[in-house]
Amino acid sequence: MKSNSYQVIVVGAGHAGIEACLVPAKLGLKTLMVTSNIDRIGYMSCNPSIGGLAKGHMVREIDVLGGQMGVAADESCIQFKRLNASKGPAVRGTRTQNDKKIYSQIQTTALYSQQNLEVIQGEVKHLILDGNECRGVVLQDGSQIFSERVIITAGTFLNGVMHIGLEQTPGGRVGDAASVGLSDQMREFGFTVQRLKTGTPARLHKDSIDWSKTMPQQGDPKFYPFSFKSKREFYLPQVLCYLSHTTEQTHEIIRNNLDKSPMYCGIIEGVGPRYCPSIEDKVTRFHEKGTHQTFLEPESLTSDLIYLQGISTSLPADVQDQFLKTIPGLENVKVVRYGYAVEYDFIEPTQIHHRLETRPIKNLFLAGQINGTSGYEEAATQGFIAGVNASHSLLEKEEFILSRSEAYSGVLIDDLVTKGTREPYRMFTSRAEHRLVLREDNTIDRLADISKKIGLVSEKELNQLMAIKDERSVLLGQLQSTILYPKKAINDTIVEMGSKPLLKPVTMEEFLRRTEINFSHLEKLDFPVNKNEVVTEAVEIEVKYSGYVKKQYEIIEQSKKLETLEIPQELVFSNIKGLSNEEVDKLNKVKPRTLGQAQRISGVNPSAIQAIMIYLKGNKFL
Amino acid sequence: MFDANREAKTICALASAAGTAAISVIRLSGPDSYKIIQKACKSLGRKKIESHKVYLAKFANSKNEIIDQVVVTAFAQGKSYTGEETIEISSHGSPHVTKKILEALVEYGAVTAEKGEYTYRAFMNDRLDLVQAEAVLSVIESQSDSALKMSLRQLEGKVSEKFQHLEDKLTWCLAHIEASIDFSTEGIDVVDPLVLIQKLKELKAELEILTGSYSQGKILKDGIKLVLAGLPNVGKSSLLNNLVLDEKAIVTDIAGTTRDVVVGHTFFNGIKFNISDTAGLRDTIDVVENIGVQRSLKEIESGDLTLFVFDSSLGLQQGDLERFRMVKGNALILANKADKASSEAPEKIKQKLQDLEGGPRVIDVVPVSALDVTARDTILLRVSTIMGSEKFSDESVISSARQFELSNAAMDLIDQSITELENELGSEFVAQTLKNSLLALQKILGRYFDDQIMDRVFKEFCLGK
Repeated sequence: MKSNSYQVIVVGAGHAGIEACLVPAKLGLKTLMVTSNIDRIGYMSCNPSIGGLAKGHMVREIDVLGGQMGVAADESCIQFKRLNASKGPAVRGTRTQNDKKIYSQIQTTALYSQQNLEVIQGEVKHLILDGNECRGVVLQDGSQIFSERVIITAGTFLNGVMHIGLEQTPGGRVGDAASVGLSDQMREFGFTVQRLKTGTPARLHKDSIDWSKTMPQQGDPKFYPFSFKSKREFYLPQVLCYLSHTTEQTHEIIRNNLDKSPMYCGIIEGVGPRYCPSIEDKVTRFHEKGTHQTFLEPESLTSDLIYLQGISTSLPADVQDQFLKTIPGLENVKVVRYGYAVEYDFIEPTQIHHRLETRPIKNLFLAGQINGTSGYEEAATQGFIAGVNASHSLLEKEEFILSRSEAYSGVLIDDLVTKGTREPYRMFTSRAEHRLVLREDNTIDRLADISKKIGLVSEKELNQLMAIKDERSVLLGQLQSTILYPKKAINDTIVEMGSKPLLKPVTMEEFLRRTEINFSHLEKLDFPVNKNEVVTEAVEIEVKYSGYVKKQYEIIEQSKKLETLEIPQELVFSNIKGLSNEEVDKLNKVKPRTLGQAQRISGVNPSAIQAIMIYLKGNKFL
Repeated sequence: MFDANREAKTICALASAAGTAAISVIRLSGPDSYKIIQKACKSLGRKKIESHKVYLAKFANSKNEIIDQVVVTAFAQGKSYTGEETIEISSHGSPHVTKKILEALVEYGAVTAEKGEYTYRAFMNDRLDLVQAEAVLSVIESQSDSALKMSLRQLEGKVSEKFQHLEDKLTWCLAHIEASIDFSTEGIDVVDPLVLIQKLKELKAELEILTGSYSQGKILKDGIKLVLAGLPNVGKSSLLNNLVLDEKAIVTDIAGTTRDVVVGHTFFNGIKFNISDTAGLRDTIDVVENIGVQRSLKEIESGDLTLFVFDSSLGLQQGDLERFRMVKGNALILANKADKASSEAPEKIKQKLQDLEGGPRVIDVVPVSALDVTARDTILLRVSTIMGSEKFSDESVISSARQFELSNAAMDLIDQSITELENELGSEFVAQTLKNSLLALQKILGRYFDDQIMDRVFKEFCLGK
């Protein structure tokens, strides 16, 4: 092997890139990471937090599979919250506020201490192509680096343009240059490349804020770390966030200055996220709302910067100064860095396989914002999956694809490659049709066996995972086999608990299903309760909601039929009678792997699915 | 239902009734309709066929033998009943001619349509929703003015609109629940569970009206089924003949003359009445008559209302009481031969029957005389009042069992979701229940939801990261 030759090259050191390069390195493959700024590895370019609803699920999923994000988030956590704690167990989500500096340090150390991994600074200008195969990358200085697989995780850097007011600067992030050349090469090769837009709010100096006019927001006292490997106590001191809100005055200033907003005078063509609108958008689209909330979040224990959550903007600096001062607490605010919008190229994700390799170019994998997503967690998940698949293809192992009923990661990638996206894609719990079985609490039960197959977690960690899984099933078995009899003494105890006396014998499992009963009650009935909350919590949820959960598993079984009917890649859709031209176009674009996936393509009718099935049967494909 | 490979084919069938008539209409639908008619009618082959134009032409088979002079009406793709390119051929109404035309069309490449395939294609091409597709059949089958009126309302989309409206409301509820789950930290105005419960109760009430309308719809579509029951020779057959204005049943003085079930129908105030005369209920050793008795009992069970007849000139006999006990459901008591002698007062008879153990619920006792012409009006008016058909509204009603069942399922699920909300169960479970309810509503219209809930969320809420 030549000295400047690797098995895997990862371009970009963001949240996707980190996961993508650690996987092959851990699996023993010679890996190179190329980043344009070696001081910003694992940098949180926008909000200083990890997780959240549906996103917390994804962090836990890749953690069980051997990913890195959960550990870094746990160890840099400066405020912890379990969101939706008052709602049902399937939609609870873990979120941490993080010390940005420490997070980045942890990730940098993780890369530098990883065997088989080299990190260099440099800008990738082109791919080395041999026909339709990728063979490496060319750097700005013209030097060539060869590799068998390339994973691009370029974030917002491809032809990135930053907007503040009517001023535009090329760049992917404040202080970092844009990456020019790569997306143009891909466009020339025939990829559909489009523009998206995202934005970030101003960063404020903490000493310029009158905190007495804001509402302090405390985190949860109890820590449920993302990673099964983490300690269950805080690593860092915990801090407060603060709540304030915009006023009518704020809105008036914004309305009067819309002509200076690049979004509103047509300069920005990229599509922004509907769920994360700029303050200009909020004021215009929801003009009846007199006020919008904003959280003031510290970026680090050791910095003066405050992140102004919910107020992303691309208005000119002087307008930002004006309207910020109308927010209670910010009357004398000093802005350290103004908010701005970024426009960037993304590759229409229907052009990639579920394994995240592109269809037009072999050996080339894409992950993160380049595929049209938004969010650190969405990026990390894709980086991880791309890393595993790039490695597996080199190690001649099976491709690694999680199904929609196994993990949010499965939902994420299937949505992207099947439906594409027109706005930055963010995960929501409602995107998962099997939401009730994709819970944070049962992540280990869902994925431990799969993790074992991938082989990224150490033997000790694997034993830890398996032990939790086994303890849970033992506990469930005990609940099912222990019978509670309606004896007087027992019924007296039950009544004392505030529950109704038994009329006939029931199993402990049935008894636990009562709304007012939880695990702690069972102890009083002489049931040997496991003290490990990691074990009991998941079992209790499984028992309490078993009716709903069982029904969901039944639906998954039913849908499996279509999910397992594979469509051969050589199939020519235009040969099938009964498909409209539009349907043939869409099927050709997405090239679904299974009939189940074909069914999810919008605009492909049920009759088309039937026609494909008949054709496959008639031509002995099935 | 149909082989999807057929969709590329052009179908043909006789659209008017079979048999001899002044004119018969044959319909062609599918991508090759114009091409096929241009082959059959050489004069059309030379010009461009325009939609909604009528052409006179000679129709020939592939051997170039002229079969008939026909009138051809063209409908372009997107402008026809099926949504496909369509040709209607009006020929002379001879079965021989239509047979030869259809054979020729098949020679030219068309395939024979299957039953309902035109409407199926209209549905698949989004020309109709499922409720409207079902209405097409009920328009075709309607036998009375009121049934036709109801079916036309359904076809126009009035019932679809109602379901659509319910679907919108339910989507609203779901969007609010989903938003409260996925955007709980983003300062949106989350709907109060009590408001949600209120909305769901309204929704349930609206669905109840629709499912409630099924009893009317069913009557309009299928009519009211009445079953005459009672001892032999109390005049059931005479009553049937009077009601249907016809000599349906053989009337004699010999008990047990009616051995089988005799069915007749009649229209009264726009409602169809299907009336069965059953064999006099009595234990018998006559094998044939015994089969008749068994059938009578079955018939009585399937009716909407039993007309229990007894001879009032003799008064209620022990035998009458025994027979009465064999009946189930609801019964209207007809005290027959009321002209012959003054019998007991109706109230007393009602009391006596109600005091019996078993037997049907007695709704009323009506003195009649089977031989009197006014008996028909008296009985059918009374039945109309009982069945509610007297005051049928002009509102949209459903008449399909499928729609009724799915509406009931949707309603039950909404009910379940209300209980779940009241018990403060996790929102994701409530959402699951409501999604299933929405699915039932969408099955009614023949649609499934995809991303509409999220689109609704984005439309309604101001969200920030």
